[in-house]
Amino acid sequence: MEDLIEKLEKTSLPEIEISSHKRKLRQVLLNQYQKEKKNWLFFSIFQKFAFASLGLILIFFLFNNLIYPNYSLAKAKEIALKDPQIKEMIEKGGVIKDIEIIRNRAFVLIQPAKGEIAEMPQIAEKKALGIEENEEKREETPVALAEINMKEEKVEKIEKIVPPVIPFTEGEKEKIQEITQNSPEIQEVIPEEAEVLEIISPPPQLELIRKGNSVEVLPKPEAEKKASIIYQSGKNQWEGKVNLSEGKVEEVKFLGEIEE
Amino acid sequence: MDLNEEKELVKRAKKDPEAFAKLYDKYYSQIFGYILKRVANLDIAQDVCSETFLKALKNIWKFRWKNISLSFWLYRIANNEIANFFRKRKHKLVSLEKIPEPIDDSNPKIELIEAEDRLKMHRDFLEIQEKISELEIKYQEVITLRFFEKKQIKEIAEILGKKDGTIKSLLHRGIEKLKNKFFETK
Repeated sequence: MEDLIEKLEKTSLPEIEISSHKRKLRQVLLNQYQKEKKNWLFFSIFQKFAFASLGLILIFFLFNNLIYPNYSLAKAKEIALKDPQIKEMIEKGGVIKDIEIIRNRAFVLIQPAKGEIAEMPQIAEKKALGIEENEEKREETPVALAEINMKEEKVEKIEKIVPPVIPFTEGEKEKIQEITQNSPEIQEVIPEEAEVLEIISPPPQLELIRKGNSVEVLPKPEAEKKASIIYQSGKNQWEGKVNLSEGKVEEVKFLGEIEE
Repeated sequence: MDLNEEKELVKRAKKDPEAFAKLYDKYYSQIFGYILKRVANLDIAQDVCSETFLKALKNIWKFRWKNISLSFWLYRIANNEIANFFRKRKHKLVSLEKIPEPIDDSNPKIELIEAEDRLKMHRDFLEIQEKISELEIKYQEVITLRFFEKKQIKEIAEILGKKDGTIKSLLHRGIEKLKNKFFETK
């Protein structure tokens, strides 16, 4: 290897120049120069234009996809919160759950917060206590879809929504009974002779799904399935909260006495 | 000419043909010599050299001065043109045949014959160059730049747009492969 390196280093190199070629090429380059100069000007303007266009496209993209949607969502929320009817719903425990913007119109979904949904058996509680009917209860629940005109900055329509209640299957009902029967918490708090009055499915969380130029309110796929089971023994009523997915009773509480 | 003067000349060359011609006068021999050492053929070397300087003229408007000699940029263009030549031998090169010969006492045909004779006299070079030309282009580039152009590793890295370490390993492997070529012949 060393020999080869030495050979490479010591090789006598041709220092040849063809002056006629050098002169000819020089002449060609000088003749071409003015023509190329025009091209340089064109290309440099084109390059600046291309960069500027790219910059504008980037700004447009950022504005349309990041800045404007966030701004529009905030604006829609602000308009919705100014509406007295929506304000009232919020005061009753509703929250803005979802917003969709479609061509200068915003659709705002108002429904109870998730925590409150978990507390839904308060409906069951009332029902169990014979205070109100289930349907009436649901109407009280602040679930509504508001349509906002973004140009005029006003709420145009508020549509009340009855959250769909997905009833339990017989299999699910059996599973709930099985979970509660084997639950030490239930055995500890609720008398043995107490009867199951009702098994209630809490209303699902809703979301807005864009459909053409409008939206559809659909239940969100829930990660966990829950149920409330109401017991009665004499005048006393209890509620057990069951997590079907985990197969356990999460909470047992005394609801009160039924009024005569 | 120091780097600052060259920088000024490059700047002027974007507006003034004479400044471009000065740069050409300065680097023609160096670039032609390099191409000739790569292709070992005077006709091809002339054509590739013409392409190199025409490309330089076309692109000098976007040349950004980075405090290194313009020759590095010219070497890089020459490398591309040589690679193009090897890639497609049918590649149509610029021919200066149609350009009228400036009035001069010298006869280009005689000059070429004389140049060819002089090239043939460098037997060692032609023999070693033949073996180098059988290597992959990446090895041809580093070996020629290192041993025939006497460039430092850093300079080769700058010309080829690669890292120093890459050049070192290319050089090592290239010499290894070249050695094998000589063994094969023996």
